[in-house]
Amino acid sequence: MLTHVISEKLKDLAPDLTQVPPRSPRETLAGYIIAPRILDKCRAELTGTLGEYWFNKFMDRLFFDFTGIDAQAFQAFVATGATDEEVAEWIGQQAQPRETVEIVKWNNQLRYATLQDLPEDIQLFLDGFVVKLPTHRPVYHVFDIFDLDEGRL
Amino acid sequence: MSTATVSDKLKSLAKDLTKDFPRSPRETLGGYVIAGRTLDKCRSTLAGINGEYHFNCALDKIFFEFAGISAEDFQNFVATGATDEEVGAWITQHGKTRERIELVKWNNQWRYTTIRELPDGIQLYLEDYIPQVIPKGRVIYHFFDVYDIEEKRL
Repeated sequence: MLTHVISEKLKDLAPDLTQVPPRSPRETLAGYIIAPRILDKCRAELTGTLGEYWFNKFMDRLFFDFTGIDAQAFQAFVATGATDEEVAEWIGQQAQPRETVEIVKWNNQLRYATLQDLPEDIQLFLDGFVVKLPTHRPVYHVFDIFDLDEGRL
Repeated sequence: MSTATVSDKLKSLAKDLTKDFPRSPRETLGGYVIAGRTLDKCRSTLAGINGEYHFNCALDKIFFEFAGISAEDFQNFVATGATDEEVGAWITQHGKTRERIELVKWNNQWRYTTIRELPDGIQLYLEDYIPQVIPKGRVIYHFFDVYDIEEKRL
């Protein structure tokens, strides 16, 4: 259950995901791919404009697991109405310390992940989803699914 | 530093890389990907019009190493003003003797290399370089896309 107090600042920052998609998972925040998308979904969940999206499931977990950041702590900070820059700084402070090259390699592992690299249950889940995507181009990488579905490709 | 003498013929063949781009690394010369681009940069460097491009950079070295050709020997031959066809024939004569399938497989390996397969130092460099030169929203699928998108061929 949502227990955070929603600031006016957060309301201004939160995208209405019933009307617009979140950012591409390819975008970065604090050096991490996926993070801006998670931030968009987190803000939208806090303001009740999440629509059909989920926060803290599947791909979001990859970010939280890799950084060692607790999703609830992330959400509590986002609820203060922190800007992208402030969230980036917070991530930098809270994330497990790593060499930059480790983060870059993690980014690249995910950027170039194909469906065949995913666990079987996710391949099964996505198999039904992929056939509903626009057909003007193939799905090369997992991230293409989001970018195709949301009209960026 | 190059000690090759620059012929007029070379000057007429050299692309002005302050105004133009070298060929895509996907183009082949002598059967090798990368080599056409390497040749363009070599000629332009000899003619002093290479701009921000470097001959014998990390990419060129991938070609030289696989072909078993010395960058200096290559440059000396290019400096004679050899045409693309002549350079292609020279590469075939001086390159390591291989079965054609080996060369084709090497080409395909590089055509389909993704950034996550590159050495750490190059991944680190590209993480900052790509957002500077690749328009937002364009997706890099393969390493060579960086060159082709930046140089507006894709």
